Amino acid sequence: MAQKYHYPVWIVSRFINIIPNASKLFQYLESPPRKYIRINTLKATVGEIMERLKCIGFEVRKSILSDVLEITSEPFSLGSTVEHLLGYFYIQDLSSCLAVRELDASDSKLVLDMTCAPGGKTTYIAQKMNNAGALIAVDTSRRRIRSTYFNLMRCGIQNTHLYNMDAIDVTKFGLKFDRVLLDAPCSCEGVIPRDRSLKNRHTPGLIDKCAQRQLILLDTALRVTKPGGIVIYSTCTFAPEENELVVNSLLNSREGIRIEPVDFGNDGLTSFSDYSLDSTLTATKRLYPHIHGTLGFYIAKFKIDFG
Amino acid sequence: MDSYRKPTELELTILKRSFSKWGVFEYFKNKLLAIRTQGDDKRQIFLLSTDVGDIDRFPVYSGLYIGTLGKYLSPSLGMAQIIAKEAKIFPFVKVNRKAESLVIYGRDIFGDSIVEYSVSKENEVVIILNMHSEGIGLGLTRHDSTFITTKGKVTVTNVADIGQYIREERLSGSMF
Repeated sequence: MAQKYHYPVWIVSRFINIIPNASKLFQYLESPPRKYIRINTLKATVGEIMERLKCIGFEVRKSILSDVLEITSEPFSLGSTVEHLLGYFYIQDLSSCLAVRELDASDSKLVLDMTCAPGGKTTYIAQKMNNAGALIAVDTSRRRIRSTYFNLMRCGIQNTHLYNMDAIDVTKFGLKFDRVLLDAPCSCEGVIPRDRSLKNRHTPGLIDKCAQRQLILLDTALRVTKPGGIVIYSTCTFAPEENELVVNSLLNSREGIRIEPVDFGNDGLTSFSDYSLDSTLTATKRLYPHIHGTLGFYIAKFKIDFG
Repeated sequence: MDSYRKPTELELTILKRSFSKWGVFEYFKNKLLAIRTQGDDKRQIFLLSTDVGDIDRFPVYSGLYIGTLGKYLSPSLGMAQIIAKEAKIFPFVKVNRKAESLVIYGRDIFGDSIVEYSVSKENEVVIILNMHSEGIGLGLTRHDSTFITTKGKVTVTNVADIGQYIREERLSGSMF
């Protein structure tokens, strides 16, 4: 399989160990990923956009989320349509939308998006909050903050405050948030269909480096959340070291937090290599391209009992 | 670092006058506005949902940028879209579908492609509408209403258009 699909052998053997029906996954990763758009209901309705896109030649169908549509035929670039430029929709994978759905931010007054660029999840959270309350969005990259700014403008977002800073420093705000989204920087194994160069750029060292950073970021996220609040931890990688192991480590080291069930996806792993993990990790979810039609993704939902 | 502050009484008066001119006075009633003054005294106006004045840090961007304040408010693209949606009477030109696709690539508007317009003067800022009456840009009239539909001639200069969201996203430099 390594030869057939041009992967390093170590990746193939890892995927076979952790991913159900991995041979089908390798085959699936060779084709372009399915394309989804999330309708910006602050500006348009799902029905209107379906109708307008059909009128200009796109084929569109509903997805498992009411405000997310799948594009099944794209006669020209979706990004250049007037509807996109007007901010009526955001081109975004279903997996990202599921993470925001789990955040359940609709009645929240103060929400934190810890690694916000380029703003897909940020604009969706703002939409869920109905452009009310306050959404603090943070990213370290100046260049990517610029993209976020243009996406916020395009989508007509009014409730977001954008900061160019390291997410670890959010404790300096001195605030406690109702909801926190940490879509952590990761080794990106799940987005290989979008960027095939990842096949050969990926190294075991990268996984370790990401996992160390993710632990610190998740610990920070849990510390700045109010009792009763929710933290969503997500990544776009299959690597258990960056997913279940990070979550397990925090569950073991912190009191007053618990895992809540995520609705959609395959159960999180409870064992990996020599590790035996907390049984509640089955409530976290893994999304696989060949099973769920999304990019590869992982979602864990924490409830803060006290902190 | 740039900080955000509340508008002064004088600034509020200018803003209210501008909102009236653009037909959105009612829309902006009771809305929370903030001003960011940059080094060159450029005053940028932002529409906010909630006062987050307690946060002891300076954001790079807050709320929705609606324009720059001078003698009047020069509307931003975000503001153009609010005006197109909310206002009943405001300066505009409506363009046909072919012109719409040129406008979003930054092109000026030929008189023949204007299908509807408000009474306007020369050198007036107008909202560029598409056939769905959506604000796709801001233009500057080169002629008054009498000649605005002159065939074969550019009659409205493209000042800003929604294609900029994508074109400028990848450029470096200032965000405003």
